[in-house]
Amino acid sequence: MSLILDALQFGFFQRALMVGFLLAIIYALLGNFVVLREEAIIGHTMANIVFMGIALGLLLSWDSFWIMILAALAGVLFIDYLQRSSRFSRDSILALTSQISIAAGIIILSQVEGYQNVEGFLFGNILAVSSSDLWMSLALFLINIVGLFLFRKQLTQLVINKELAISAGTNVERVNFIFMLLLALTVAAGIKIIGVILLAAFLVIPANIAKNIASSFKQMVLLSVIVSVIGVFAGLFLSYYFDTPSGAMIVLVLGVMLIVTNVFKRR
Amino acid sequence: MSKKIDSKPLIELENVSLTLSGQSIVKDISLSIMPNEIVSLIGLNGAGKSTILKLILGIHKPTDGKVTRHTKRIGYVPQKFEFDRTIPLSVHELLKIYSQASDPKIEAKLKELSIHHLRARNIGALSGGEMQRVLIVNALLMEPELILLDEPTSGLDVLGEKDFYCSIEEIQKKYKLTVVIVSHDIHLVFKHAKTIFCVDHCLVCHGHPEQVKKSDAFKKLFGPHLVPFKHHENEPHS
Repeated sequence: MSLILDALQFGFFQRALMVGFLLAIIYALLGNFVVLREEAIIGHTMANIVFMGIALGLLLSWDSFWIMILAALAGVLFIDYLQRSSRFSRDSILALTSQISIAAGIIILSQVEGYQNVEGFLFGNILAVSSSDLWMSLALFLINIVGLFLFRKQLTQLVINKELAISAGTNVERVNFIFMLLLALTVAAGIKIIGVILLAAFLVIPANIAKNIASSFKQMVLLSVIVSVIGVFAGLFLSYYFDTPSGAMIVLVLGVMLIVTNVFKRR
Repeated sequence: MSKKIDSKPLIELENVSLTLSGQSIVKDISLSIMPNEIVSLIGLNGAGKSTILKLILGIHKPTDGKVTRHTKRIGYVPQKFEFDRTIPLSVHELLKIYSQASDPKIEAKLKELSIHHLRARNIGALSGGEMQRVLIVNALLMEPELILLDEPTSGLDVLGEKDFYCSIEEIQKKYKLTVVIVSHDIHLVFKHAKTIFCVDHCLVCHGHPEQVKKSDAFKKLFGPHLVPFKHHENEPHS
Protein backbone atom coordinates (compact mmCIF):
# COMPACT_ATOMS: atom_id res chain seq x y z
CA MET A 1 0.00 0.00 0.00
CA SER A 2 2.78 2.37 0.92
CA LEU A 3 4.39 1.51 -2.41
CA ILE A 4 1.27 2.67 -4.24
CA LEU A 5 1.03 5.89 -2.23
CA ASP A 6 4.72 6.47 -2.70
CA ALA A 7 4.50 6.15 -6.48
CA LEU A 8 1.37 8.29 -6.67
CA GLN A 9 3.22 11.28 -5.23
CA PHE A 10 4.97 11.79 -8.52
CA GLY A 11 3.33 13.83 -11.27
CA PHE A 12 4.98 11.76 -14.02
CA PHE A 13 3.58 8.56 -12.47
CA GLN A 14 0.06 10.01 -12.25
CA ARG A 15 0.27 11.09 -15.90
CA ALA A 16 1.56 7.64 -16.89
CA LEU A 17 -1.40 6.02 -15.10
CA MET A 18 -3.90 8.31 -16.79
CA VAL A 19 -2.40 7.93 -20.27
CA GLY A 20 -2.01 4.19 -19.74
CA PHE A 21 -5.63 3.94 -18.62
CA LEU A 22 -6.93 5.75 -21.72
CA LEU A 23 -4.69 3.94 -24.20
CA ALA A 24 -5.34 0.56 -22.57
CA ILE A 25 -9.07 1.02 -23.17
CA ILE A 26 -8.69 2.21 -26.77
CA TYR A 27 -6.28 -0.52 -27.82
CA ALA A 28 -8.26 -3.25 -26.05
CA LEU A 29 -11.45 -2.18 -27.84
CA LEU A 30 -9.73 -2.07 -31.22
CA GLY A 31 -7.91 -5.29 -30.33
CA ASN A 32 -11.16 -7.27 -30.18
CA PHE A 33 -11.72 -6.59 -33.85
CA VAL A 34 -8.04 -7.08 -34.73
CA VAL A 35 -8.02 -10.51 -33.06
CA LEU A 36 -11.33 -11.66 -34.51
CA ARG A 37 -10.24 -10.52 -37.99
CA GLU A 38 -7.20 -12.75 -37.44
CA GLU A 39 -4.93 -9.81 -38.15
CA ALA A 40 -2.67 -9.83 -35.11
CA ILE A 41 0.18 -8.60 -37.29
CA ILE A 42 -1.62 -5.37 -38.14
CA GLY A 43 -0.26 -3.53 -35.09
CA HIS A 44 3.30 -4.18 -36.26
CA THR A 45 2.43 -3.27 -39.83
CA MET A 46 0.96 0.09 -38.89
CA ALA A 47 3.79 0.73 -36.44
CA ASN A 48 6.43 0.02 -39.09
CA ILE A 49 4.69 2.33 -41.53
CA VAL A 50 4.74 5.04 -38.87
CA PHE A 51 8.42 4.28 -38.18
CA MET A 52 9.13 4.95 -41.86
CA GLY A 53 7.24 8.22 -41.48
CA ILE A 54 9.29 9.18 -38.41
CA ALA A 55 12.51 8.45 -40.31
CA LEU A 56 11.32 10.54 -43.23
CA GLY A 57 10.38 13.35 -40.88
CA LEU A 58 13.86 13.30 -39.34
CA LEU A 59 15.51 13.32 -42.76
CA LEU A 60 13.44 16.24 -43.99
CA SER A 61 13.30 17.97 -40.57
CA TRP A 62 9.49 18.00 -40.68
CA ASP A 63 7.19 17.95 -37.70
CA SER A 64 7.13 14.32 -36.59
CA PHE A 65 3.51 14.21 -35.36
CA TRP A 66 1.94 15.21 -38.64
CA ILE A 67 4.26 13.10 -40.72
CA MET A 68 3.37 10.10 -38.53
CA ILE A 69 -0.32 10.70 -39.19
CA LEU A 70 0.33 11.18 -42.92
CA ALA A 71 2.43 8.01 -43.07
CA ALA A 72 -0.31 6.03 -41.32
CA LEU A 73 -2.95 7.32 -43.75
CA ALA A 74 -0.69 6.57 -46.73
CA GLY A 75 -0.20 3.07 -45.29
CA VAL A 76 -3.96 2.48 -45.03
CA LEU A 77 -4.42 3.59 -48.64
CA PHE A 78 -1.54 1.36 -49.77
CA ILE A 79 -2.99 -1.68 -47.98
CA ASP A 80 -6.44 -0.88 -49.39
CA TYR A 81 -4.97 -0.54 -52.90
CA LEU A 82 -3.18 -3.91 -52.68
CA GLN A 83 -6.32 -5.51 -51.27
CA ARG A 84 -8.35 -4.38 -54.27
CA SER A 85 -5.84 -4.79 -57.05
CA SER A 86 -3.62 -7.74 -56.17
CA ARG A 87 -4.03 -11.48 -55.77
CA PHE A 88 -2.15 -11.47 -52.46
CA SER A 89 -3.90 -12.74 -49.37
CA ARG A 90 -4.73 -10.26 -46.61
CA ASP A 91 -2.05 -11.58 -44.22
CA SER A 92 0.57 -11.45 -46.97
CA ILE A 93 -0.36 -7.84 -47.73
CA LEU A 94 0.01 -6.89 -44.06
CA ALA A 95 3.30 -8.78 -43.69
CA LEU A 96 4.91 -7.45 -46.86
CA THR A 97 3.82 -3.87 -46.12
CA SER A 98 5.36 -4.23 -42.68
CA GLN A 99 8.65 -5.57 -44.03
CA ILE A 100 8.96 -3.00 -46.81
CA SER A 101 8.17 -0.15 -44.39
CA ILE A 102 10.76 -1.13 -41.80
CA ALA A 103 13.39 -1.68 -44.48
CA ALA A 104 12.66 1.73 -46.01
CA GLY A 105 12.64 3.31 -42.53
CA ILE A 106 16.06 1.89 -41.65
CA ILE A 107 17.57 3.06 -44.96
CA ILE A 108 16.11 6.54 -44.53
CA LEU A 109 17.33 6.66 -40.92
CA SER A 110 20.84 5.66 -42.00
CA GLN A 111 20.93 8.86 -44.05
CA VAL A 112 20.06 11.03 -41.05
CA GLU A 113 23.30 12.35 -39.63
CA GLY A 114 24.09 11.28 -36.08
CA TYR A 115 20.74 9.58 -35.45
CA GLN A 116 20.79 5.93 -34.54
CA ASN A 117 18.27 5.67 -31.73
CA VAL A 118 15.43 3.34 -32.64
CA GLU A 119 14.96 2.19 -29.04
CA GLY A 120 12.45 4.92 -28.28
CA PHE A 121 10.40 3.81 -31.25
CA LEU A 122 10.42 0.20 -30.08
CA PHE A 123 9.70 0.70 -26.38
CA GLY A 124 8.39 4.25 -26.05
CA ASN A 125 8.46 5.71 -22.57
CA ILE A 126 5.15 5.85 -20.81
CA LEU A 127 6.76 7.39 -17.70
CA ALA A 128 7.95 10.39 -19.69
CA VAL A 129 4.56 11.51 -20.99
CA SER A 130 3.85 15.23 -21.01
CA SER A 131 0.58 17.06 -20.43
CA SER A 132 0.15 17.42 -24.20
CA ASP A 133 0.49 13.63 -24.53
CA LEU A 134 -2.28 13.32 -21.96
CA TRP A 135 -4.56 15.64 -23.94
CA MET A 136 -3.75 13.83 -27.15
CA SER A 137 -4.58 10.48 -25.51
CA LEU A 138 -7.88 11.92 -24.32
CA ALA A 139 -8.72 13.17 -27.85
CA LEU A 140 -7.77 9.77 -29.25
CA PHE A 141 -9.92 8.08 -26.62
CA LEU A 142 -12.96 10.16 -27.54
CA ILE A 143 -12.49 9.67 -31.30
CA ASN A 144 -12.25 5.91 -30.83
CA ILE A 145 -15.16 5.64 -28.43
CA VAL A 146 -17.43 7.58 -30.81
CA GLY A 147 -16.18 5.76 -33.94
CA LEU A 148 -16.42 2.29 -32.42
CA PHE A 149 -19.80 3.01 -30.86
CA LEU A 150 -21.26 4.24 -34.16
CA PHE A 151 -19.96 1.32 -36.19
CA ARG A 152 -20.04 -1.40 -33.53
CA LYS A 153 -22.70 -3.52 -35.25
CA GLN A 154 -21.19 -3.26 -38.74
CA LEU A 155 -17.68 -3.98 -37.45
CA THR A 156 -18.91 -7.03 -35.57
CA GLN A 157 -20.85 -8.24 -38.60
CA LEU A 158 -17.70 -7.90 -40.67
CA VAL A 159 -15.47 -9.87 -38.32
CA ILE A 160 -17.92 -12.76 -38.08
CA ASN A 161 -18.80 -13.21 -41.75
CA LYS A 162 -18.37 -10.76 -44.62
CA GLU A 163 -21.04 -12.27 -46.88
CA LEU A 164 -23.72 -12.10 -44.19
CA ALA A 165 -22.67 -8.52 -43.48
CA ILE A 166 -23.27 -7.64 -47.15
CA SER A 167 -26.65 -9.37 -47.06
CA ALA A 168 -27.53 -7.29 -43.98
CA GLY A 169 -26.94 -4.18 -46.10
CA THR A 170 -23.57 -3.21 -44.65
CA ASN A 171 -21.14 -1.41 -46.91
CA VAL A 172 -18.21 -3.62 -45.93
CA GLU A 173 -15.59 -1.69 -47.87
CA ARG A 174 -16.52 1.55 -46.15
CA VAL A 175 -16.63 -0.03 -42.70
CA ASN A 176 -13.30 -1.71 -43.31
CA PHE A 177 -11.75 1.58 -44.38
CA ILE A 178 -13.11 3.39 -41.33
CA PHE A 179 -11.69 0.70 -39.05
CA MET A 180 -8.28 0.89 -40.70
CA LEU A 181 -8.35 4.66 -40.43
CA LEU A 182 -9.17 4.55 -36.71
CA LEU A 183 -6.43 1.99 -36.17
CA ALA A 184 -3.87 3.95 -38.19
CA LEU A 185 -4.61 7.17 -36.34
CA THR A 186 -4.44 5.42 -32.97
CA VAL A 187 -1.19 3.65 -33.76
CA ALA A 188 0.42 6.78 -35.20
CA ALA A 189 -0.51 8.90 -32.21
CA GLY A 190 0.25 6.25 -29.60
CA ILE A 191 3.59 5.03 -30.90
CA LYS A 192 5.66 7.87 -29.42
CA ILE A 193 4.17 7.28 -25.98
CA ILE A 194 4.13 3.52 -25.66
CA GLY A 195 6.30 2.22 -28.53
CA VAL A 196 5.73 -0.61 -30.98
CA ILE A 197 6.08 -3.51 -28.59
CA LEU A 198 3.60 -2.35 -25.95
CA LEU A 199 1.23 -1.11 -28.64
CA ALA A 200 1.20 -4.44 -30.48
CA ALA A 201 0.79 -6.26 -27.15
CA PHE A 202 -2.17 -4.04 -26.19
CA LEU A 203 -3.84 -4.83 -29.50
CA VAL A 204 -3.48 -8.58 -29.25
CA ILE A 205 -3.08 -9.87 -25.68
CA PRO A 206 -6.12 -8.43 -23.79
CA ALA A 207 -8.57 -9.50 -26.51
CA ASN A 208 -7.12 -13.02 -26.50
CA ILE A 209 -7.29 -13.23 -22.70
CA ALA A 210 -10.93 -12.12 -22.87
CA LYS A 211 -11.66 -14.61 -25.65
CA ASN A 212 -10.33 -17.36 -23.39
CA ILE A 213 -12.78 -16.68 -20.58
CA ALA A 214 -15.77 -14.83 -22.02
CA SER A 215 -19.01 -16.64 -22.76
CA SER A 216 -20.51 -13.90 -24.92
CA PHE A 217 -19.22 -11.22 -27.28
CA LYS A 218 -20.29 -8.42 -24.93
CA GLN A 219 -18.34 -10.09 -22.13
CA MET A 220 -15.30 -10.42 -24.38
CA VAL A 221 -15.28 -6.68 -25.12
CA LEU A 222 -15.77 -5.75 -21.47
CA LEU A 223 -13.19 -8.22 -20.16
CA SER A 224 -10.58 -7.12 -22.70
CA VAL A 225 -10.87 -3.57 -21.38
CA ILE A 226 -10.69 -4.66 -17.72
CA VAL A 227 -7.72 -6.93 -18.36
CA SER A 228 -5.91 -4.24 -20.31
CA VAL A 229 -6.38 -1.65 -17.55
CA ILE A 230 -5.26 -4.15 -14.88
CA GLY A 231 -2.19 -4.88 -17.02
CA VAL A 232 -1.26 -1.18 -17.18
CA PHE A 233 -1.80 -0.48 -13.49
CA ALA A 234 -0.11 -3.64 -12.23
CA GLY A 235 2.74 -3.26 -14.76
CA LEU A 236 3.40 0.36 -13.81
CA PHE A 237 3.43 -0.30 -10.06
CA LEU A 238 5.58 -3.41 -10.44
CA SER A 239 8.03 -1.55 -12.68
CA TYR A 240 8.25 1.19 -10.04
CA TYR A 241 8.83 -1.40 -7.29
CA PHE A 242 11.39 -3.49 -9.15
CA ASP A 243 12.86 -0.53 -11.03
CA THR A 244 12.42 -2.13 -14.45
CA PRO A 245 11.30 -0.71 -17.83
CA SER A 246 7.60 0.04 -17.52
CA GLY A 247 6.44 -0.94 -21.04
CA ALA A 248 8.15 -4.31 -20.83
CA MET A 249 6.66 -4.96 -17.36
CA ILE A 250 3.13 -4.20 -18.64
CA VAL A 251 3.62 -6.70 -21.48
CA LEU A 252 4.91 -9.27 -19.00
CA VAL A 253 1.91 -8.85 -16.69
CA LEU A 254 -0.45 -9.26 -19.67
CA GLY A 255 1.55 -12.33 -20.74
CA VAL A 256 1.15 -13.95 -17.31
CA MET A 257 -2.61 -13.29 -17.39
CA LEU A 258 -2.78 -14.85 -20.86
CA ILE A 259 -1.05 -18.03 -19.69
CA VAL A 260 -3.20 -18.30 -16.55
CA THR A 261 -6.48 -17.81 -18.46
CA ASN A 262 -5.37 -20.31 -21.05
CA VAL A 263 -5.12 -22.93 -18.31
CA PHE A 264 -8.55 -22.04 -16.91
CA LYS A 265 -10.22 -21.21 -20.22
CA ARG A 266 -13.91 -21.61 -20.99
CA ARG A 267 -14.74 -25.04 -22.37
CA MET B 1 -55.71 -8.49 -60.37
CA SER B 2 -53.12 -9.93 -58.02
CA LYS B 3 -51.34 -11.43 -61.01
CA LYS B 4 -50.82 -7.96 -62.43
CA ILE B 5 -49.24 -6.76 -59.20
CA ASP B 6 -47.05 -9.87 -59.08
CA SER B 7 -45.93 -9.55 -62.67
CA LYS B 8 -43.06 -7.17 -61.88
CA PRO B 9 -39.84 -9.08 -61.27
CA LEU B 10 -38.00 -8.72 -57.97
CA ILE B 11 -34.63 -9.31 -59.57
CA GLU B 12 -33.47 -8.87 -63.15
CA LEU B 13 -30.16 -9.96 -64.60
CA GLU B 14 -29.46 -8.59 -68.05
CA ASN B 15 -26.60 -10.13 -70.02
CA VAL B 16 -24.58 -10.56 -66.86
CA SER B 17 -21.05 -11.94 -67.08
CA LEU B 18 -18.44 -12.33 -64.41
CA THR B 19 -14.75 -12.98 -64.85
CA LEU B 20 -12.60 -13.64 -61.79
CA SER B 21 -8.81 -13.89 -62.01
CA GLY B 22 -9.04 -14.16 -65.79
CA GLN B 23 -11.52 -17.04 -65.63
CA SER B 24 -15.04 -16.68 -66.94
CA ILE B 25 -17.40 -17.85 -64.17
CA VAL B 26 -20.75 -16.93 -65.69
CA LYS B 27 -21.44 -15.62 -69.15
CA ASP B 28 -24.28 -13.61 -70.61
CA ILE B 29 -26.93 -14.60 -68.08
CA SER B 30 -30.33 -12.96 -68.42
CA LEU B 31 -33.09 -13.95 -66.06
CA SER B 32 -35.93 -12.51 -64.03
CA ILE B 33 -37.05 -13.69 -60.62
CA MET B 34 -40.74 -13.16 -60.08
CA PRO B 35 -42.35 -12.60 -56.69
CA ASN B 36 -44.01 -15.16 -54.48
CA GLU B 37 -42.59 -18.38 -55.85
CA ILE B 38 -39.90 -20.95 -55.23
CA VAL B 39 -37.21 -20.69 -57.85
CA SER B 40 -34.30 -23.05 -58.18
CA LEU B 41 -30.93 -22.69 -59.83
CA ILE B 42 -29.63 -26.08 -60.82
CA GLY B 43 -26.46 -27.23 -62.53
CA LEU B 44 -23.39 -29.33 -62.02
CA ASN B 45 -20.62 -28.43 -59.58
CA GLY B 46 -18.75 -25.29 -60.63
CA ALA B 47 -21.46 -24.28 -63.10
CA GLY B 48 -21.78 -20.82 -61.54
CA LYS B 49 -24.98 -21.28 -59.48
CA SER B 50 -23.65 -19.84 -56.23
CA THR B 51 -21.98 -17.05 -58.19
CA ILE B 52 -25.36 -16.01 -59.57
CA LEU B 53 -26.70 -15.77 -56.00
CA LYS B 54 -23.71 -13.65 -55.04
CA LEU B 55 -24.31 -11.40 -58.06
CA ILE B 56 -27.93 -10.98 -56.98
CA LEU B 57 -26.81 -10.14 -53.48
CA GLY B 58 -24.06 -7.75 -54.58
CA ILE B 59 -21.17 -9.75 -53.14
CA HIS B 60 -19.82 -9.89 -56.71
CA LYS B 61 -20.13 -7.01 -59.16
CA PRO B 62 -20.73 -8.11 -62.75
CA THR B 63 -17.90 -7.63 -65.23
CA ASP B 64 -20.54 -7.01 -67.92
CA GLY B 65 -24.28 -6.58 -67.88
CA LYS B 66 -26.63 -5.29 -65.24
CA VAL B 67 -28.22 -6.60 -62.05
CA THR B 68 -31.40 -4.77 -61.04
CA ARG B 69 -32.86 -5.32 -57.60
CA HIS B 70 -36.43 -4.16 -57.13
CA THR B 71 -36.22 -5.01 -53.45
CA LYS B 72 -33.69 -4.26 -50.77
CA ARG B 73 -35.10 -6.83 -48.38
CA ILE B 74 -33.03 -9.87 -49.28
CA GLY B 75 -32.24 -12.65 -46.82
CA TYR B 76 -29.26 -14.88 -47.51
CA VAL B 77 -28.25 -18.29 -46.25
CA PRO B 78 -24.73 -19.07 -47.46
CA GLN B 79 -23.56 -22.53 -48.43
CA LYS B 80 -20.65 -22.42 -46.03
CA PHE B 81 -20.86 -20.14 -43.06
CA GLU B 82 -17.20 -19.67 -42.34
CA PHE B 83 -16.34 -18.11 -39.01
CA ASP B 84 -13.90 -18.38 -36.14
CA ARG B 85 -15.37 -21.27 -34.10
CA THR B 86 -13.66 -20.05 -30.94
CA ILE B 87 -15.51 -16.73 -30.93
CA PRO B 88 -17.65 -16.39 -27.79
CA LEU B 89 -20.92 -15.56 -29.51
CA SER B 90 -24.35 -16.98 -28.71
CA VAL B 91 -27.06 -17.67 -31.27
CA HIS B 92 -29.09 -14.79 -29.84
CA GLU B 93 -26.15 -12.40 -30.15
CA LEU B 94 -25.51 -13.48 -33.73
CA LEU B 95 -29.13 -12.83 -34.68
CA LYS B 96 -29.11 -9.48 -32.92
CA ILE B 97 -25.93 -8.35 -34.66
CA TYR B 98 -27.04 -9.16 -38.21
CA SER B 99 -30.80 -8.67 -38.15
CA GLN B 100 -30.91 -5.85 -35.57
CA ALA B 101 -34.35 -7.19 -34.63
CA SER B 102 -35.84 -6.72 -31.16
CA ASP B 103 -35.43 -9.43 -28.52
CA PRO B 104 -39.11 -10.54 -28.54
CA LYS B 105 -39.02 -10.82 -32.31
CA ILE B 106 -35.90 -12.97 -32.18
CA GLU B 107 -37.45 -15.17 -29.49
CA ALA B 108 -40.64 -15.60 -31.51
CA LYS B 109 -38.79 -16.51 -34.69
CA LEU B 110 -36.58 -19.03 -32.86
CA LYS B 111 -39.72 -20.66 -31.46
CA GLU B 112 -41.37 -20.66 -34.87
CA LEU B 113 -38.50 -22.65 -36.36
CA SER B 114 -38.36 -24.90 -33.29
CA ILE B 115 -34.85 -23.92 -32.29
CA HIS B 116 -35.56 -21.78 -29.24
CA HIS B 117 -33.49 -24.20 -27.14
CA LEU B 118 -30.41 -23.03 -29.10
CA ARG B 119 -30.75 -19.35 -28.21
CA ALA B 120 -27.97 -19.29 -25.59
CA ARG B 121 -25.74 -21.86 -27.31
CA ASN B 122 -22.36 -20.74 -28.60
CA ILE B 123 -22.40 -20.66 -32.42
CA GLY B 124 -19.16 -22.64 -32.53
CA ALA B 125 -20.96 -25.56 -30.84
CA LEU B 126 -23.78 -25.85 -33.40
CA SER B 127 -24.11 -28.75 -35.83
CA GLY B 128 -24.43 -28.10 -39.57
CA GLY B 129 -28.20 -28.55 -39.52
CA GLU B 130 -28.64 -26.35 -36.45
CA MET B 131 -26.55 -23.60 -37.98
CA GLN B 132 -28.61 -23.86 -41.16
CA ARG B 133 -31.80 -23.21 -39.20
CA VAL B 134 -30.23 -20.34 -37.28
CA LEU B 135 -29.22 -18.75 -40.57
CA ILE B 136 -32.76 -19.16 -41.90
CA VAL B 137 -34.08 -17.44 -38.78
CA ASN B 138 -31.55 -14.69 -39.39
CA ALA B 139 -32.72 -14.30 -42.98
CA LEU B 140 -36.40 -14.25 -41.91
CA LEU B 141 -35.73 -11.63 -39.23
CA MET B 142 -34.76 -9.21 -41.98
CA GLU B 143 -38.40 -9.39 -43.12
CA PRO B 144 -37.28 -10.23 -46.61
CA GLU B 145 -39.24 -10.29 -49.83
CA LEU B 146 -36.61 -12.61 -51.24
CA ILE B 147 -34.56 -15.36 -49.60
CA LEU B 148 -31.49 -16.78 -51.28
CA LEU B 149 -30.51 -20.29 -50.13
CA ASP B 150 -27.18 -21.61 -51.33
CA GLU B 151 -27.07 -25.43 -51.26
CA PRO B 152 -29.14 -25.42 -48.05
CA THR B 153 -29.30 -29.19 -47.68
CA SER B 154 -25.63 -29.98 -48.24
CA GLY B 155 -25.05 -30.87 -44.57
CA LEU B 156 -28.29 -32.83 -44.09
CA ASP B 157 -29.26 -36.49 -44.45
CA VAL B 158 -32.09 -37.66 -46.74
CA LEU B 159 -34.83 -37.19 -44.14
CA GLY B 160 -33.42 -33.86 -43.12
CA GLU B 161 -33.48 -32.73 -46.75
CA LYS B 162 -37.16 -33.66 -47.16
CA ASP B 163 -38.09 -31.89 -43.91
CA PHE B 164 -36.10 -28.88 -44.97
CA TYR B 165 -37.88 -28.50 -48.31
CA CYS B 166 -41.27 -28.96 -46.62
CA SER B 167 -40.50 -26.23 -44.07
CA ILE B 168 -39.25 -23.92 -46.81
CA GLU B 169 -42.49 -24.45 -48.70
CA GLU B 170 -44.47 -23.65 -45.55
CA ILE B 171 -42.41 -20.53 -44.87
CA GLN B 172 -42.76 -19.39 -48.47
CA LYS B 173 -46.54 -19.74 -48.33
CA LYS B 174 -46.88 -18.19 -44.90
CA TYR B 175 -44.83 -15.08 -45.63
CA LYS B 176 -45.53 -14.93 -49.38
CA LEU B 177 -41.83 -14.84 -50.06
CA THR B 178 -39.79 -15.48 -53.11
CA VAL B 179 -37.28 -18.23 -52.41
CA VAL B 180 -34.29 -18.91 -54.64
CA ILE B 181 -32.61 -22.22 -53.92
CA VAL B 182 -29.31 -23.30 -55.37
CA SER B 183 -29.16 -27.05 -55.42
CA HIS B 184 -28.03 -30.05 -57.33
CA ASP B 185 -30.60 -32.30 -55.70
CA ILE B 186 -32.89 -32.26 -58.70
CA HIS B 187 -35.36 -34.76 -57.16
CA LEU B 188 -36.51 -32.41 -54.44
CA VAL B 189 -36.05 -29.25 -56.44
CA PHE B 190 -38.38 -30.49 -59.19
CA LYS B 191 -40.95 -31.37 -56.57
CA HIS B 192 -40.95 -28.03 -54.76
CA ALA B 193 -39.83 -25.32 -57.20
CA LYS B 194 -42.15 -23.49 -59.54
CA THR B 195 -39.47 -22.17 -61.84
CA ILE B 196 -36.14 -23.75 -62.67
CA PHE B 197 -33.06 -22.10 -64.13
CA CYS B 198 -30.57 -24.60 -65.41
CA VAL B 199 -27.05 -23.20 -65.45
CA ASP B 200 -23.82 -24.32 -67.05
CA HIS B 201 -21.83 -21.04 -66.88
CA CYS B 202 -24.57 -19.65 -69.09
CA LEU B 203 -28.31 -20.21 -68.86
CA VAL B 204 -29.00 -23.43 -70.76
CA CYS B 205 -32.76 -23.69 -70.15
CA HIS B 206 -35.44 -22.42 -67.82
CA GLY B 207 -39.14 -22.60 -67.08
CA HIS B 208 -41.63 -24.77 -65.22
CA PRO B 209 -40.07 -28.03 -63.94
CA GLU B 210 -42.04 -30.09 -66.46
CA GLN B 211 -40.84 -27.93 -69.34
CA VAL B 212 -37.25 -28.01 -68.16
CA LYS B 213 -37.35 -31.76 -67.69
CA LYS B 214 -38.27 -32.20 -71.34
CA SER B 215 -35.72 -29.80 -72.76
CA ASP B 216 -32.80 -31.25 -74.69
CA ALA B 217 -30.33 -28.93 -72.98
CA PHE B 218 -31.36 -30.28 -69.60
CA LYS B 219 -31.21 -33.90 -70.74
CA LYS B 220 -27.77 -33.32 -72.21
CA LEU B 221 -26.49 -31.77 -68.99
CA PHE B 222 -28.05 -34.12 -66.47
CA GLY B 223 -28.39 -37.27 -68.62
CA PRO B 224 -27.81 -40.01 -66.02
CA HIS B 225 -29.65 -38.15 -63.24
CA LEU B 226 -32.87 -38.08 -65.22
CA VAL B 227 -33.66 -41.76 -64.64
CA PRO B 228 -35.71 -41.35 -61.43
CA PHE B 229 -37.95 -38.87 -63.16
CA LYS B 230 -38.93 -41.04 -66.09
CA HIS B 231 -42.16 -42.17 -64.48
CA HIS B 232 -43.28 -38.54 -64.37
CA GLU B 233 -42.70 -37.94 -68.04
CA ASN B 234 -46.20 -38.96 -69.20
CA GLU B 235 -48.04 -37.22 -66.42
CA PRO B 236 -50.10 -34.20 -67.46
CA HIS B 237 -48.61 -30.78 -66.67
CA SER B 238 -49.86 -29.23 -63.52
